[in-house]
Amino acid sequence: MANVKYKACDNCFQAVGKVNIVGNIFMIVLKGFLGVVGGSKGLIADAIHSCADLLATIVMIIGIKISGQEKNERYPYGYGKAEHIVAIVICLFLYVIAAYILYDGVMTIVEGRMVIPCTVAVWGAVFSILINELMFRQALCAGTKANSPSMVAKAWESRTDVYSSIAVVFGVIGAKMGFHFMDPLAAVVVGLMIFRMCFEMTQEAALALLDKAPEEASRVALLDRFNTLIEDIAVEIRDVKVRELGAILDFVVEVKVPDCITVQEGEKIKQLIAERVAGQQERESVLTVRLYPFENQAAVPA
Amino acid sequence: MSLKKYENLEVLLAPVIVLAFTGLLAVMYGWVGTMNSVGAETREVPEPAETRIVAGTAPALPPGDGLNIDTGIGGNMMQLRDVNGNIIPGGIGGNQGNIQLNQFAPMGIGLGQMQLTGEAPIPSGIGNDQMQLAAGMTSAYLGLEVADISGVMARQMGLPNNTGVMVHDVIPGSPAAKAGFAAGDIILKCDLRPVGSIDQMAKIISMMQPGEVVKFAVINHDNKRRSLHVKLSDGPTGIRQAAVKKAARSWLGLDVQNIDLVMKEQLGLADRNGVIVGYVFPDSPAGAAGIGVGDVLRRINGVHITDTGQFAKVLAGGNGAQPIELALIHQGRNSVIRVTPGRPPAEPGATPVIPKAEMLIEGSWIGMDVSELNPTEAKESGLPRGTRGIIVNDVESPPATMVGFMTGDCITAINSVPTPTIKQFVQATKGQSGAVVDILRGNRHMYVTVPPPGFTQQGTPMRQNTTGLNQVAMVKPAPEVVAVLVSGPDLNSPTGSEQWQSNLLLVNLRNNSYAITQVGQGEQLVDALHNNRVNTLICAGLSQQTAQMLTAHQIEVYTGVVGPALETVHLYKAGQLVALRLGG
Repeated sequence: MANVKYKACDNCFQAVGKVNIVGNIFMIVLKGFLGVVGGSKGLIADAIHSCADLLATIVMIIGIKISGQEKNERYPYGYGKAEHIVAIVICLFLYVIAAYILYDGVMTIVEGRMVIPCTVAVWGAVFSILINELMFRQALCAGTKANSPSMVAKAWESRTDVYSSIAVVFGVIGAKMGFHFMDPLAAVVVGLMIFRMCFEMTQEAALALLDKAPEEASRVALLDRFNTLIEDIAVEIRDVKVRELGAILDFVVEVKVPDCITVQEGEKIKQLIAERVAGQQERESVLTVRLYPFENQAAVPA
Repeated sequence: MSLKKYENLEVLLAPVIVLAFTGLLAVMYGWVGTMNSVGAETREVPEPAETRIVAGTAPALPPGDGLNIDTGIGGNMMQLRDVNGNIIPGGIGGNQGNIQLNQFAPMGIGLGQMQLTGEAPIPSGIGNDQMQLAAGMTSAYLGLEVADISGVMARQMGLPNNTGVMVHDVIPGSPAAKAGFAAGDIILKCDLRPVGSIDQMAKIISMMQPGEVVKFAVINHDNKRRSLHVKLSDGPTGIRQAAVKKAARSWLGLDVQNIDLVMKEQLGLADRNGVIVGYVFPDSPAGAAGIGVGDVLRRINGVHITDTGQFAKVLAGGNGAQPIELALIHQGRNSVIRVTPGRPPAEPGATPVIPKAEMLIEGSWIGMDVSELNPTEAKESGLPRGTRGIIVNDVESPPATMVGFMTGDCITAINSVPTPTIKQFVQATKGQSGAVVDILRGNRHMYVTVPPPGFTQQGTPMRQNTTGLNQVAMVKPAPEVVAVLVSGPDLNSPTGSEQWQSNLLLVNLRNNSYAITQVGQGEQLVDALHNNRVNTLICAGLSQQTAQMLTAHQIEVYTGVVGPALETVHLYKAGQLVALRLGG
């Protein structure tokens, strides 16, 4: 798939996932340590936010690993959906943590407990902002060069992680200026972000379990795209259904064919379509082609 | 099949580890707010001290009198002592210039330790004395009683932090009263310069001479900005009486102390919020309400108490006649009581305890000599009838000097274990690391905390040899040598005053070496300094005569500096000390 100009770009593209994991682990350790040492609730909450990010990535990797397993007798359709179950379980845990962060942060403000973080906490947040930005730049560049819109989209999405670190910077500086409620307030903001993130993850997983069509593939767009791919063949695609099995896209393509063709010809058309369509997909795809005779001639004789 | 199982295990291990770590972080998150223990103090900004009068009258130290401010390290109680050794509890009504002391004012080591953290922009505690001395150089009289504005108050009033000082009271007939000041006014600017604390204002006023006109920018109680012009005058003699009268407001009749880590551990407290009651006066409002020694006061009128300074501030902020609602832990139970503050009775003045020369030294503990109290002594010392305990005969060296023991203290219990005899005392102190000691001093009970070796009372490890200084037998005479009067023969001893201490610390700032020598008083001290070509002296107290002699020898004097000797040298290097100026 890597139709890139330079070999280096291909390596870069392959490394995005690893960089993301290593970067996240580094940020968690850094923020966790500085948060505890510097006594900043906000920064610790931010470290937990990074943990949630890392967990999301891990869930994705689990999805790839599990769905890569062979189908067997007991699970003839493979393990594709296991990923979503794992995601939901992890999210349940994160909900509890986020709720605790919110509760404790609010109580700290209400009770007026003094949380006066040390300035090192600011450095933790600033480093985290920088690392996040670098990771974003790399993913964006690699995604653009490798012509992978999904990676570009993901890069933009993960850029919003930076907001929590920015909130922490404000919280710590505010506390240093004498507004002692600012640090717990930043923690509450981060807690809300974790909540939102969890909610999105849960929603996505739940909908995927219900075989919702993936966001990037609306039915009409797919129909158009596939039809242009097979213009030179004298057939028409009637319908496309798609669902996600973990990392794999599972297509079911319904094709209208003249009812006079032989079975052999039909199989040839199937193969052709499968090759063309699957070859154009960015993600790993499984294609099932079903043939339907033209409707006006297909009326089954009574 | 088994292979597959392992594969799954590996896949599941990653999220489990991350989840566990997340849980750990969440626990830490919860701790950060409540945990007030190790190291937390260094992050907290110390609240500046108490209400006091900004204005000086005559020089604070009358020549020849040898009056000496002894900041009575520890215990948050400040006492004034004259040369006869009379202890004047509460420090009110002494012949001490016009320093108004609040009974709960956090003075002494508490603030000395805050200084250790180096976060206080102005050396508080000491700073106070210094300001007083600096202010003492002028006789300009303003007639305002001002207080710092706490963060909470500032927020309520919509002021930025560290802006302005609040007028607590205006002394009738004073220049300030004539200019139209009223209680509750907030002073934003003094002599065209913004003021954010009492100290700043004291500094400005201390530069003024009687007859000068000072312009103030003030927000009055209608929230309107006004500017007031005060013509400073010479201080009237009645000023001290006014101050005493004011201090009498909102008297509960109890002594409170900060709770440190050792106290929390030894007294089995849940946390270190609030202040602990050290002594309840007989026939006081607090006593009548059922408050006892060892109770922990948590909230006052719904405001959380963080330390004694803040407690005193909140108390002083209240209307004297209104009942105060106190939430406290009484004998391990939470309860809420209402107390109506009263007026303090005339202080009888405690009988001084003078250790006798023939007294037998029966034991020693943490650098002090102790002996069993015999009943006749108890009577002479003015201790309550039937008191049994261990009397402190001599406080010689750290840590006893650091934690605030004084000669004449009667130790009645260690970690709540009574020590009526020396045998039980030895038993109680054996293998002791970290103790809360119940003592009777001048007829009053109070707690003294003895930290474990190598730690401060707040539980922070003491810096061991991170001073960057090397001890040498003798410092070569050089102009960059700084001299400090110290009460003990080491760098961490508190600074001493001329009358009581005879150790001289000489620090060569250029090659970071130091030496400690013995030194006498008066001319001997001056000679010793002169011979070493020292041109800077830091000390806790100095007689007027010696100060004059030193100034005549071009030696810069920093007096009223209280705290570990090394820290005062650091403060001096950082230019945060204010030199004594004579004459003018």
